[in-house]
Amino acid sequence: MHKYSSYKTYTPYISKYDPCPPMKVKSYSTPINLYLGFQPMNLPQYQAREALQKGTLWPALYSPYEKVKMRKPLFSKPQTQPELQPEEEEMD
Amino acid sequence: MAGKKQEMYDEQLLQLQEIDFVLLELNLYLDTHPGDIQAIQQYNQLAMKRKQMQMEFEAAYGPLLHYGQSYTKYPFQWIESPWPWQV
Repeated sequence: MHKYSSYKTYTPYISKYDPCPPMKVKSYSTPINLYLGFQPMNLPQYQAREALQKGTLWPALYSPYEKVKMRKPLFSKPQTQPELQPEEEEMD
Repeated sequence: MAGKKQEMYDEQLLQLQEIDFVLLELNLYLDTHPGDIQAIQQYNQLAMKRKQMQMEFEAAYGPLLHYGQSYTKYPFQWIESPWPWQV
């Protein structure tokens, strides 16, 4: 069973004729409400102060929007272009 | 405002904000889960606590709301600073 991650990454096709430097790994956000559906009852709760800071009362629903630069590539599926493994971390 | 009083003011205001946020989240949750008895109990407890905190705050620092939703001392305190956006 895949572990929940708040973003997913993929490697776009890189052509020889691309005019700009290629973006080897791109990412998109996948917040928890995509998977959660109807919120179950009696989920554990934050304390009041932490809830105010985190923006939600339930840790299960906490979904920070990480900076795109901070997103490390995560490849759950086998790669279709193995030889194009991303050497450095640069992303958009 | 004196430094110490300012700290107390900020702390009590922050506590009010926290409890308001928890009440807001519980309210939104109860919109879709009207049958959750524990959430309802928590909501009622916090609502009572919030009313009590508001009375304490207003006794010390003046009304939080106007148009009759808060009491005021003499002279009319609503026009005194600091206003909410100045805090």
